[in-house]
Amino acid sequence: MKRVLKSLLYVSLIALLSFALPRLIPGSPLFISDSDLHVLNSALPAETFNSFKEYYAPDKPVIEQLAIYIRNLIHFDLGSSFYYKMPVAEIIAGRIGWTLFLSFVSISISSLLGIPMGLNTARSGGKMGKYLLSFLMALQSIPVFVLAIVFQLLFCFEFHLFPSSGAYTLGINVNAVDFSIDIIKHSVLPIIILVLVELPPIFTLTYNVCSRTKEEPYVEMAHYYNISDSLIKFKYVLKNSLPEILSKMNIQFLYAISGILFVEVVFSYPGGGTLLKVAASSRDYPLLQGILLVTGFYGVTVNFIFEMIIKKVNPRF
Amino acid sequence: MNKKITNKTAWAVIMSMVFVGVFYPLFSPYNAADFSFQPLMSPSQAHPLGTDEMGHDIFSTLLAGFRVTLGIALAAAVISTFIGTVMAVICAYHKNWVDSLIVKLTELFIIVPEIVVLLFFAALSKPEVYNTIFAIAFFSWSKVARIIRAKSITVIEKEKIQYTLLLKGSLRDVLVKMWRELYPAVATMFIFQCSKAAVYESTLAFFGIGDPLAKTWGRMIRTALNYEGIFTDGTYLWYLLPPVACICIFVVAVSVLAFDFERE
Repeated sequence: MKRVLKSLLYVSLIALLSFALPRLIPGSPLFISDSDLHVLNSALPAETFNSFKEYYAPDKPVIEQLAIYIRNLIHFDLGSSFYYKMPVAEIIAGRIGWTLFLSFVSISISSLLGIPMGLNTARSGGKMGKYLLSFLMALQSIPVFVLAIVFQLLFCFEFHLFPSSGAYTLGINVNAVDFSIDIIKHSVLPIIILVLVELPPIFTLTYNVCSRTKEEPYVEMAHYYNISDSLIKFKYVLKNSLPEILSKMNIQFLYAISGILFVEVVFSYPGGGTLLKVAASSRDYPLLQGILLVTGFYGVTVNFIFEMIIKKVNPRF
Repeated sequence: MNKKITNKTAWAVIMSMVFVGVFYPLFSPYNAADFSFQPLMSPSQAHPLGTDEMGHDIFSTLLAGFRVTLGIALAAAVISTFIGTVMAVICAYHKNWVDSLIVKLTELFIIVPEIVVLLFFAALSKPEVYNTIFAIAFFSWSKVARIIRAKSITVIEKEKIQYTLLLKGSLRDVLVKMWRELYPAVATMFIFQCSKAAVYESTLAFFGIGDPLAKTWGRMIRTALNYEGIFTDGTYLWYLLPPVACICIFVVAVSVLAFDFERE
């Protein structure tokens, strides 16, 4: 119950943030001044402008605006996009699948690689792990989109190994098998980059947690009892490290989303990232706001799910 | 031994980059705003990195980019570290609902990625350099606040600070008293923030947000990518890769330094 309340608090904070920001920033269309509104009126087609005005009601008092805003949100009405001239909720719903696809696949691969790697490096405890760690740290600090551009340059334009943009080739796929292969081909490179970005934190995290668990007296005792190495590894070290790893994986899941948005932009992948790019460059406020809200909602949901899992795995938390 | 060398190299790289940023007019062969050259020239003696499709000398633009990029990164890092530290001390000072509210706020910035909120803010405001700096500074203090808060909570229990509190010291007095204890952590966070701010700035520019006239490295990458033939006619070698390399070198050098600080 407490968790539900906390999640609700986050959702309302996000809604409040998205409500307040456009009204506080000078230069945005909702920073109420008649001249701004006039400029917007002349720049947009009448229909779009009217729906905009109806949705935000900038001429009403702020409290009433907030009430309208919240009522719209409850009905999943996110307004209408300037650029696409369609309801924002509909546009985002059409794109979000690709982003979720990239996110789940890349996180799964990174966890499946990163957790065993971290566990093994911690168990062997050699110098190798330290070097690997510092190399990964350096890699981690490079902006994701820069990494994506370099990869695109190398693998798409120099070696012609992978298609450089999109999620599928338009118009040539006749059957489901070809289509799936095409989708996989297009997603290989974005996923490799995302794994490169997501792997270091997961690896570091597992390494640190397992290094600590390894030193515990009960693991030492298990060694004296001649319990087999693999049993110690999984039953003693991994099982006891897992709750802590999971509780921080949650943060990785949330960080991953911003990486995905940038990789999508570089590869023109038709997910939320490209949408964000269009919204930002055409200053499409309703769409931007919609993306902010959906990202926030996604974050809260992921957070909630992870807290439930952690509670299952380890009731102490 | 090995640590010392990497640390020194990182310092040397950063210092020379700052040096170029401050004194770039001395090295710059042309004015960065001058677009009177023949467009799309390949590198030559006169133009070490060629010219772009508008006729700017790319080498001069890149050098000018040192000052803007590093300037934005430093300014944003100073402000965000300051906000974060003050927030952290407020948490330790008040401890009641104020503390939990600020903690909830910092958690919110984990749940909604900072960069998305930042993009939202920057896209709404006027495209000026100051707004970019403020956008980065206002939405990237959460990590500073989280880490300094943990430190402050232990530091505030020290006798000398408890004494200040007994004398009804204000928040400012407490901050001044705590400064000496907090300083190392704040310095580490500042270095982290520098790297973060540089990354955020380039990301914003990559999304086409921000002052179009401020030729930061991120903006250079954006304009290079906007040029249609960038990947097909080989111009990326001197057009796209130099700013990419600059960002990578700067960010990596700064993070090497930050991790070194953190270890101490």
